[in-house]
Order: sequence, then structure tokens, then C-alpha cells
Amino acid sequence: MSRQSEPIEAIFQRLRHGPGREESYRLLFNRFYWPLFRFFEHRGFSTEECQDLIQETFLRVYRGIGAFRGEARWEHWLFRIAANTAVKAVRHRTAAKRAGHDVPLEDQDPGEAPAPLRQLLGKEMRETLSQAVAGLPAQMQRCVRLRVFQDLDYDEIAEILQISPSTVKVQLFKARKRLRLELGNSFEDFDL
Amino acid sequence: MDEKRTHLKAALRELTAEESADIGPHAGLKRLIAYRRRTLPPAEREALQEHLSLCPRCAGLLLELRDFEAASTRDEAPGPESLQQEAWESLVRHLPWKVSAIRSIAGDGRRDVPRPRRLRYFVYGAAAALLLLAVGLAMMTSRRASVSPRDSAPRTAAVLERERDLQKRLEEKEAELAAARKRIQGLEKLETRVAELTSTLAELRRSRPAPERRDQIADASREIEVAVAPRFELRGQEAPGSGFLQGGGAVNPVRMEAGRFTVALSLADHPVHGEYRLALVDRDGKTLWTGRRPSRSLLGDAGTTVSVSRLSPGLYRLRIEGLQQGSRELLAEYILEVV
Repeated sequence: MSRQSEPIEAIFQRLRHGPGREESYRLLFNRFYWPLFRFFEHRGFSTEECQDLIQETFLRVYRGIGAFRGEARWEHWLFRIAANTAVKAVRHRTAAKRAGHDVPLEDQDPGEAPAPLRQLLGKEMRETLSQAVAGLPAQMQRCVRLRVFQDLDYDEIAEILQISPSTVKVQLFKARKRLRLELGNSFEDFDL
Repeated sequence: MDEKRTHLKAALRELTAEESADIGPHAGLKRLIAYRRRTLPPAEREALQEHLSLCPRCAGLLLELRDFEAASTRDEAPGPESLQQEAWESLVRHLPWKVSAIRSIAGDGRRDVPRPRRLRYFVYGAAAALLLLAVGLAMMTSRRASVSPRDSAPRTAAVLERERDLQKRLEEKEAELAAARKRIQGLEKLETRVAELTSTLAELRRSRPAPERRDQIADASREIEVAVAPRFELRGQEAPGSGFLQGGGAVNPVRMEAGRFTVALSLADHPVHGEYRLALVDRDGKTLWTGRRPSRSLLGDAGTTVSVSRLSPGLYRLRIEGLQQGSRELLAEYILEVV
């Protein structure tokens, strides 16, 4: 039988009100194992750690299923548990590091990005640029920031701002045009 | 020239980094989920978009949420099955299945079975206290008895009276202790019996005939039986995405002849609600009939009967809801197709 053939709500309902809880629990595990694996892997955990964190997540699901009040979607509830489990694991790792335990280099939290170069802009240049950006409409400013500051592609920006990718493209095109018009004397490359 | 060409982007990065230095607290997953579900008020939505444009962490979390949702609807395993199997086997070793077999994990405030263990501990505690008291009294009595008449003052009548009183109390406590021991034996027998019954119940549930395949649509007579929760015994499954089912319950299309029909509902083995509400709704959501049943009338195997007549051909939805202290919980929905 296909993994997706049964609505997730029906599986959770059976898990809450059993009998057949074990079977429902297995279905749930099969359904969310790989999404959870990818989630933890994306956060930089090793395969072994991913396995442990998935186990921890499902144990929390098992313990917390009775407390779930049905206000959120099941997937979101599960995602919150997974995100909290990941945060807890990172804290644990940090505490281990502080306590002097060995933590492999590749396991360390990448942390914040390096601070930008503060001396790049002169005061006058900064004010000119700041005014030009502040003059853009709010949505356009956000597109620029997400594109330049967070290095996101059109689809990702669209997802975050809940607009279409073509709208993002248009917004960035217009921003480029306006900035070129206002800052043409000071800057040259307007490829955003 | 090259230096100038990269200048704007780097300058914008620097400017944004400065702005992002005081963006305030992170959005929080609950708020991000509400944003994704588009349930935030416009002003809050606007503020959050502003925050997201300056906060890589919250924006990243939102994208992770999107990826998670997308991955959970895909039907392929993107990695080795052995890894998944290994994780499952490890997980199972940590699960208290034996406990779950006798106690609901639903956490609905009621328990499926009595809890003799707690009572037993209470009786053990009481018995231990009685035993200590008895030993103390016995020691006190023997110490008094061992005092030589030559070394002590002549016993007064009051002391003798006190000794007799203590002796009497000791005997009483010993009798209570014996009774408590007897009760413990009774409770142990009861606990064994509960375990046996639980095991039998689990066996019966396992041997229950499997429900019909969900993709079948049953041709029913004018009388159908609907077993509601916990497993929503199904007689068929409407194609997903048809949009007809609006609640979160099970779909159960049952084809029947036009005219009067009878639905026999069996709510046995279902989490008990104070009252049940049954409603027949047409395709447009218009309620054609509603009825309520108190829980006592639904307990047991007999169930209850609902009769509705003069139904024209078409699809109808039978909703079954549990009512409890002002709240309403949808237990199941069944699609009835009158032909």
C-alpha cells in the first residue's frame, strides 16, 4: 500500500484512540522518517545523530500525543517537536564543548556569518545608499534584502513573502532600475 | 572597474547587516506556522515579513517548514530502507508497548482500566505503618515486663491498667494487619485477573476480521451498520480530493436505494462522551436532520437506530460528533449515496 494512501489525520486519530496504536505508530514513522531525516541532516547533524534525533522525536510524539489539542495541523505539531529536539541537541553539544568534551570539528555549530566589512562605505556614501533604499516600496526593499543579504533565489523569496516568483523577479527588476537611476553616479554594477 | 562592479552589492549587504543588528526577538515557530497558514492579521503579517527579510534564522526556519511539508507528501523513500528499518527497531526497543496495551495514551482524562497498583502501594504503606506500631508497642511492653520488682517501685493499679490497654491495642493492630494482608492477596488476584482480561481483549482485537478494503464501495440494503471510533470501520473510501468531505473524519460511501433507510450505530469500545450528536447533511452543507443520543443509550453492542425517509438520490454526509462539557468533537463522517 502506498505510504500516502491514508490521510494523516486518520492515522493520528487511531494513534490517539487505538486499538491498532502500534500499527498507526509504525505508519506514522514510515511517513515522516525521511522528511525528519532530511530536516536534521540539513541542520548539519551526522547520519548517526539524525537517527538518534528521529528516535527522540518519535518518543516525544508518543508521550505527547494525548496533550495535542488538535488546534494545529499534525505535520506542524510534528515539525515543532523536531525543531525543539534539534535545538536541544545543539544546546547539549554546546554544553559538552564548554565542559571540555571533544566535539569533532565538523559537528560544531557554524554560528553566525562573519561580520560584514564595516569600513566599506564612507559616511556620505552610506547616507546616499540608505536614502535610496528607504525610498523603495516596502515589498521591494524586502525582496532586495532577501536577495542580497540572505542570498536567496526567486522561489525562496517568493515562498517567504508569499508572492509569486514572477512578482519577485519584477520587484527586483524595478529595484535595480530605480537604484541605477538614483545611484548611477556612485555605483555601477546593479546586478541584484 | 571590477571593484566598482561589486561595490553596490557589498554596500547593500553591509547596510542590511547594520539594520539587522536590532531586529528584536526571533519570530518563534508558532508564529511562523500561523504565517504559513495565512492566519495572521494583516499588520502582524506585514511586521513579520519585515522581520523575515532581515533575519536569516527565521527565514531559514520558514523554508525548512516548507521543505518538511513538501517532503511529507512525497511518496518515495529518498534513502536506503535499511536505515529506516534500523531506526524503527531502535525506537521500538524504547517504547512501553506493554503499558499502552492496558492504558490509553489518548490522555482524555479517563483511564481504560482501574489502577490497582497505586492502591496496592497504599495498602503496603498502611501495613508497614501498622507493623511498625505493633513492634514499638511490643518492645515497650517487654521492656516494662523485664524490670525487676526488686529494682522498681511497686506497680500501681494505673500502670497495670495502661499495660492492659496497650496489650489490647496491640492485638487490635495485629488483627488489622492480618486483614490488610488479606486485602493485598485479594488485590493481587484482582491484578492478575485484569492482566488476563487485558490479554484476552488484545487477542480478540487482533483476531477481529480485517475491515474491507477502503477503495471498495459497498452496496448496502436499507439498513446499514456503522461502527464509529476507535477504528472507524470503513465500508469504502471516496476518492481523495473530491472536496465533498469537509471534516477530519473517515469517509464511508454506502450506496443505497432511495427512500427510507436505517442506520444502526454501534459506539461500543469508543471513548465515552456525555452525549452524541448525529447529523445528516446534504452536498451543499444544508443540515437535513439532526438527533442527539445520551451516552447510556449507545453503550453496549446494541447501538442505536436512526431513521430518515424521503431522501432523493444523491450524496449525503452523516456526521457523528461527541459532546462533552460544551465542546464538540467530530468522531466520524460517512458518505451515503442514495441511488
